[in-house]
Amino acid sequence: MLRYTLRRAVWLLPTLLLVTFLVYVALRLGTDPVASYRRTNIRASKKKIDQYIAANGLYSGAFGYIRGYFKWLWGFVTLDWPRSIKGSREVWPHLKDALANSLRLGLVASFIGILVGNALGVLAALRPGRLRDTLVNSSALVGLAVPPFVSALLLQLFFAVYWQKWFGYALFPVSGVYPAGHQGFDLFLMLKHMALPVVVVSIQSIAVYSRYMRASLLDVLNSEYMRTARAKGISERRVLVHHALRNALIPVTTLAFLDVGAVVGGLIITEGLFEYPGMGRFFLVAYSNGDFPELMPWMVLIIGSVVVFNLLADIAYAKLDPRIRLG
Amino acid sequence: MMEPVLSIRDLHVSFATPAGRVQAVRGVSLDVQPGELVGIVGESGSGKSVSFLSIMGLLPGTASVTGSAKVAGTEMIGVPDSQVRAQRGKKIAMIFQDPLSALNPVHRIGAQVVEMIQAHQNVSKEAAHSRAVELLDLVGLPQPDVRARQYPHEFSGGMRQRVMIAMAIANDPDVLIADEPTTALDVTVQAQILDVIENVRRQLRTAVVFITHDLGVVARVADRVEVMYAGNTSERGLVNDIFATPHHPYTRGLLSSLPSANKERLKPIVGAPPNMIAPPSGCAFRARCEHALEACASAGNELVRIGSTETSCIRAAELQGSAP
Amino acid sequence: MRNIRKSTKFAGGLLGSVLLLAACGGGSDSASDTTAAGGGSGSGESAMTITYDIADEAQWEDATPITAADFQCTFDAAMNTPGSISTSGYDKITSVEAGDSDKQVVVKFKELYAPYKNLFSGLLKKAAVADCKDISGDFGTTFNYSGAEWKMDSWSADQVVFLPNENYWGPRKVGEGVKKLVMVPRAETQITDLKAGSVDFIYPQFYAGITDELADPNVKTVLNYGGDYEALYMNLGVDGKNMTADGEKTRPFADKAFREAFYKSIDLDALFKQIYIPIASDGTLLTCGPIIPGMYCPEGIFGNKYDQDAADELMEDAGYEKNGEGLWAKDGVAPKIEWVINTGNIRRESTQAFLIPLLKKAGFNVVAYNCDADCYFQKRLPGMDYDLAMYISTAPPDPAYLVGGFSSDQVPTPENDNKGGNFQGWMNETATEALKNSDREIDEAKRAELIKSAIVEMDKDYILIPLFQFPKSGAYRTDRVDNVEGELNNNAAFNDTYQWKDLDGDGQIVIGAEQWPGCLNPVTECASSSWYLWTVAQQLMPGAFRTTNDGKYVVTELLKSDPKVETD
Repeated sequence: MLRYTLRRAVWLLPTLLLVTFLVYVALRLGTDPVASYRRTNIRASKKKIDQYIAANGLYSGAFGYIRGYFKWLWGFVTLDWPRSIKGSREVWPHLKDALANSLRLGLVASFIGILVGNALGVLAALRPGRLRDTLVNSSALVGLAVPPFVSALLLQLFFAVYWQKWFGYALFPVSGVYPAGHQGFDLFLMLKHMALPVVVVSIQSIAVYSRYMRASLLDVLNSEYMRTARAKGISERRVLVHHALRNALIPVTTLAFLDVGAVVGGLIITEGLFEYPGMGRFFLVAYSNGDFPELMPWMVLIIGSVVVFNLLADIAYAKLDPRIRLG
Repeated sequence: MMEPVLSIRDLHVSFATPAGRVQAVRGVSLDVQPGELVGIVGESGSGKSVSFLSIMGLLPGTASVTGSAKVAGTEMIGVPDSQVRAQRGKKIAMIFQDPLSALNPVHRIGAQVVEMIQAHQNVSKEAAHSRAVELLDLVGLPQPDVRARQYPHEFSGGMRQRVMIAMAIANDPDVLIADEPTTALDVTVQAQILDVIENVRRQLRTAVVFITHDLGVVARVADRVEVMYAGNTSERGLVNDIFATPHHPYTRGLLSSLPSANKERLKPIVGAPPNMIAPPSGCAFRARCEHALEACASAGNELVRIGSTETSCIRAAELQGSAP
Repeated sequence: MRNIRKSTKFAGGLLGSVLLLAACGGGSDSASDTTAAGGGSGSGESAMTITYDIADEAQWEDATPITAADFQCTFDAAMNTPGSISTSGYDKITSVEAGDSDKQVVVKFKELYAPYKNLFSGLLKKAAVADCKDISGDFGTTFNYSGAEWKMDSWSADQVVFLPNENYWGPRKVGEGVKKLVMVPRAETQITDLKAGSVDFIYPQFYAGITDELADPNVKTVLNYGGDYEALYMNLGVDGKNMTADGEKTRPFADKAFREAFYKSIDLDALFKQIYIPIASDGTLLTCGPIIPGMYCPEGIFGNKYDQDAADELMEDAGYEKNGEGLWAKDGVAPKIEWVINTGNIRRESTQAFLIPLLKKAGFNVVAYNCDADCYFQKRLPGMDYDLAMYISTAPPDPAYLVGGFSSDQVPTPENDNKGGNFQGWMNETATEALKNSDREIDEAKRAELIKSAIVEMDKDYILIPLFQFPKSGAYRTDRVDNVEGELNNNAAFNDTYQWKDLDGDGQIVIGAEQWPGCLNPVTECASSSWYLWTVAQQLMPGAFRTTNDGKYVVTELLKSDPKVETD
């Protein structure tokens, strides 16, 4: 297991370097950072543009891409990040806030989605074709079919607009991280503001996980080794937990790791629906400005998270399924 | 005569399906004596596996089971699950056809045997583990202590079936049900597994019910044979007698479809087994039987004794001696 | 709907209506920001001198006085900061110096400059920046000074919080009981937020159906006809052609007869009824030209000139004849008219759907040439890659923006580094002369005549078809705030927050912002957003003049009196 982990982990750094290089090239080709800079700073002087090119290593030519990448990389790891093209602001303070907001929303929603979704999936799979299976299955289909903007709108109308009409206050806020004017940390207010977006995201992930878990567990329950386990005369509970769930969790766990790894990327749609300043919005703004100094660190965080969680998913998979380790 | 370790009386099993109720087993009665190896033979769908799965309580919820089956005096039919579970794996154990998928892929071999031991014996994990290694040794697994730490995917089919046997005999059961244990294996491995089962029976005095569609295997290992057709026993008796003089046309058909050195070509039984949702009255085999009479349509399933064997064929006596 | 908003915002920036330190779209934008006239030359050849007398008590948030040095710094920053969005007006200045005392500022101009009231409308504090000649690195995380009624407490991606500036000296003191002014970004949820009570006031772009969406017993919606107007613009090309991504294209609208016939082939009344009456039942066709009704609006021009017979005659005289498909063709070619709008803008798409078949029938081969807002406003329009365009612009009270948008020398060409703002390629010497002179005419009435004469030329040349003056919409919770309607028609929007009343007693006024300024620098690109001006600059920066609700300029409390303007 350790050997397996090390063997996979060794590839982590080269993978990161390769993918960030590809992203670097793609961003330079796709957004043309110098043109974006000139578009955003229409009257920037030649000197200022040269400074921008030097600070970001945006040298031209094929070799310039390689040299530029290492220039960027060195600046990135030494925490000497170039400033944003619009307003010349430091990138990290803003990125850090967006990251924290996205992690909070994404992790809570994933946690709920994974927990509730899997529980429902198990309940459904244990009585296939019966009422509760039908209930879980059809509500999952509804959950998947209802787009986030519809569920967000309904929740906002009910808990905020109508609640305000009926009772004179909104039970859950429709937007933001804190009430306007609030400064500092307040767990309760924060949770209140997260409630609706978390529900919207959770509906989707609960639906996904319940269906996934149901399918996975049904598959396992129909396996021969389940009969072997029952033939031992052990309790049904042990049969389910030790034999069925243990196997059914293997694909679900992989999915969960990949999902959590993607949390860093934020949720472009949901964040928009709730004015939630997370990584999705950060990206949208940076991308529409063509803000290379903001886009690269964002990309690196996403890539890093995806690569690391892929590795963790692989390790977890191997840990859960001994058949993988030899491969 | 000794008290039988397994005593089945008038066992009926049916399944609810969307098309109707499938009557898989229709009144089977059978005794198995201690240490005896009984072969159960029949085509697929004859009810041979279902009968024993019902006794083990391993049928799905759609099955309804009536009648009686006593394992070492304990009733297994129509009693609470917990009572059945207490016997399962302890007094009566079972091994299955496909050893490749019968073991849980994510647990170590040793742990799977240990689980069986600890399910019925109050022993420490360490004790259970060393017992598991002994058992693996007993079924002929080389380096059992090393192998116990390995996972099923590191084993060949034959080795896995040995593990299944080791697991089944872990609590020294009175009856071992072997449901087509060699069907999925290579011929050479088949022989080894048969040896292991034979060995277990001799050493532990365990009664074995050997379910198979292969008469050749039965001929090698069984003391007695029970031929099943359409949910009923069609013929039973000592192996040698039945092979020498089969009395039921179905048995005769099975034997003539058996490959052997002195036969030019095989003669399969024509036709297909009956629909078990609406099984025919009387002798279920009559539609495929060249000797069928009108009387067969009203024949019961009572077994008639002819010599050492019993058969349900009402024409058994008159047909005796007609060439197979 | 959001496309309208986006386009409006851009068109506003495009025409230079929201530039803060700079005059709006001055006529001779310097192509290079390093060739600043620089302060202190004191050349005696000034054509105009303006003397500002700063109020004695005028001071910054730290109680230091506002002085001539701050005017000097503002001038230096606008002229020299790399990335300064506009130097218009400041580039006419030869010196900014203290007069009799450091409370008097003497500004010398090398030529007459009529829109001078736009200058020094947002003052920098010299002590707040490291180097007045390059403030591009300042204001990164907060706006660290104030000379107005509020001061910034904090700024982030979530909100900006203002507190009353206790050292503010003027009459616009923040009302009793109001402790905080908060603005939060609410692009998507502003209406829901207002109804749910999490914001007190919003200022959304107007669109059809917005009043229905805002219907709520506790919400009041106010519509004012402000500076937004929509029009159809024709591209004449440069010498009748443009280089586009697909190669060189000939522009049929280069031919005046073609433009006139085109104009006369459209029944504007029918179009107005079809498109705008459903939005605003009491609306009327805009006939002023690229400007809203007021003192600069000439009478009796534009409007519906539908006359199919006259149009046909014009085309025949110009050598066109209808081909087999019934389209006007010359030398066997029926010129294709590419009409660009932003995809997804339902109103503009409906306009195309309504007009294109009618124009085809009249013999004009018009085709939709649509793309998304970014492509439309950032590529095709400035690249002059279109024949016909339809968009909304926001007109500031001062007509100086017309100089940059319609003068001959503002057609983007290599000579001006492609930086001009005349994207129609219209070159009319009479109009250009009048516009140039309007920039140098200090007399209000004479200046208005010059502007009007330029607009009349536009009408004569048939280069655009004005359509509709758009309402501005503000909405607020009547149970939370009061007295907010005073400046909603102002070009600078809600710039009277100091007198808003807090009814619910939570001590704060919350404004939901439709767009969020991504940064705070008052001279770089940050300042090109209207919302930056509204939510940041006008709350903090003192200035010489401010605009009123009815589109006039008045001197502020920063000055003792109107500045003295002397010309040679």
